[in-house]
Amino acid sequence: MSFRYTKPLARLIDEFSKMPGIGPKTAQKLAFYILKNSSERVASLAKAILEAKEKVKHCSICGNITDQEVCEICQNINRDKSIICVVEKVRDLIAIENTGEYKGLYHVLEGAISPLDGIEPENLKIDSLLKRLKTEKIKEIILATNPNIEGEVTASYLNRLIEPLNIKVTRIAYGVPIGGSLEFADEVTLTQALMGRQKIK
Amino acid sequence: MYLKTLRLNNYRNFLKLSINFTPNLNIFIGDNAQGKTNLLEALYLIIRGNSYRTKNDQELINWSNKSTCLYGEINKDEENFQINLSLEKKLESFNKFKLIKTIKINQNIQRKSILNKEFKGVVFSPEHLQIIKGAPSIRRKFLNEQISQIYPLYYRHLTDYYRILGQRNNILKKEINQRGLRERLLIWDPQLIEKGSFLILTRIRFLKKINYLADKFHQKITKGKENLKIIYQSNILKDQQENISFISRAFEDKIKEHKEKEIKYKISLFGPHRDDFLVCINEFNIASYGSQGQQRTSVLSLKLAELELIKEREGVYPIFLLDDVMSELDEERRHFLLELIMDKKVQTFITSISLDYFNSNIKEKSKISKIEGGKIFAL
Repeated sequence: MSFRYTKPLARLIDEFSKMPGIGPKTAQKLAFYILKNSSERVASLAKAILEAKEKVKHCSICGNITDQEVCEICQNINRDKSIICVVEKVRDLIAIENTGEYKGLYHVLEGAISPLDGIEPENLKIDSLLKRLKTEKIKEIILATNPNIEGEVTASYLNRLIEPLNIKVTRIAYGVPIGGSLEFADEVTLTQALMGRQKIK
Repeated sequence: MYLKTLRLNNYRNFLKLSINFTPNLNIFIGDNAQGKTNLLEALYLIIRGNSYRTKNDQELINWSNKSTCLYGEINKDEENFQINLSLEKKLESFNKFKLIKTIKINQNIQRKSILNKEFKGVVFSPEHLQIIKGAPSIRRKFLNEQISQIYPLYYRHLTDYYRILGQRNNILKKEINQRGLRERLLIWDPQLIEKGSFLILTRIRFLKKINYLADKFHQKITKGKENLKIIYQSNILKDQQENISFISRAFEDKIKEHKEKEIKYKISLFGPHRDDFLVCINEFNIASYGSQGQQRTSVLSLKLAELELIKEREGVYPIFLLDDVMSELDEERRHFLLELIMDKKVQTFITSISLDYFNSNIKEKSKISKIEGGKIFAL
């Protein structure tokens, strides 16, 4: 028989181990860390968790995370409101936002089409995107779904839906990572990069 | 490229063995169940880091021992490589073992993929007759493995294709109305067609190439009596087309035409995942009409073609391992096969039950060893 934790501790470990990237050992470590801390600190942690869950919502326009009805990006009057970048997840939005280069708006799909995972087009935020295209004055849509099968299929599906609306649709480019060295790039990426080569300006 | 030395320790039925090889032909003679195939397997392990016979590495360790060591010296482009491969059973808990495999090249621990990149080997064993006789899936596996080695992009498209296929079959299995089903399939079809057509085209081109080489060898072994033809069998194309837009159009038409059927059977019925290839001798399909000897000769021709493809890509011939190939070939075919190998300067290892299969000229030029009960004797 292996050692049994008292019930409250076992429950805490169990809850931790449900989190992404956390196995039984890490869950145990975190639980003991909590026990070691003062009651005030633990209370403040619990409060932070609850508050984050209660206050953080999805933007009613683009699906970005925010604590208001409409997110900061959608509210910002300095941004280019004629261009929308479509991404799968909020994390992709943050990645693009961190480049500081993109000044347009976003739309988060909350996934990509994948019947094997039970995600069909109607489970994605596609209706709200089409509604935006009809009500806002959009000139260009950038499809920035992931360069894997599901992302590609989602992009070509969206392209087919948007085409009749007379809006320019673009897809992000594939290629070699900048600052890296060619010898370490995999064959498929290199082939794609060669196919998508450009004239030097 | 050739193997100079092999040393074994507690490997299968060999407790201790040390042998040097010639860069030409090496013949292992022995009765049944003496260790001939085990020895070929050991050579393959040194070159490739895994067995071609089993997925369970534990079988490689001698019954009464906990670990095995293999050591080999390979000469490639006048450079010497020392390869160590060891397998050790480590006690994890009181009755559970964990198998630890270590590969060293020139005393440095390396991953198997490094070994695979550097050294190549081609095996022919009786099981390979399945390429002719077996189910279509075995031939598709043969094709996929062969092409992926030469063309990394193919492997990527293949995995993508199967992923799309999985998604598409999942849709077909769902209980929804016809219209919804058709609409959903339409999302996946363009990708299926794009990747699938690429696979078909690449396979047709590859088979054409290997057909050219294999036919040449086959004619040599049979003294021009038989010609070999490999035909790709697609359920989309009537004949072997090499135009990508033609293939994708045919693919698209086929899916459109038979959508009812796919919906009825709830599975994707058309595409490279259902394709096959035929091997014909003098226009006859040898899976049904060929003799044992003809089937064996054709697989040999395919293997010789594989040898050439590797040589073309790597610049040097791989090591050629022939397990029990002589017994089913007639004297003339044996003679031409051995001549062909001697001409090529490919290091070859052949196992055989009897030395009678080899003529005096060949015996003179090769190194012959007798294997008996896990021991080896020079003859």
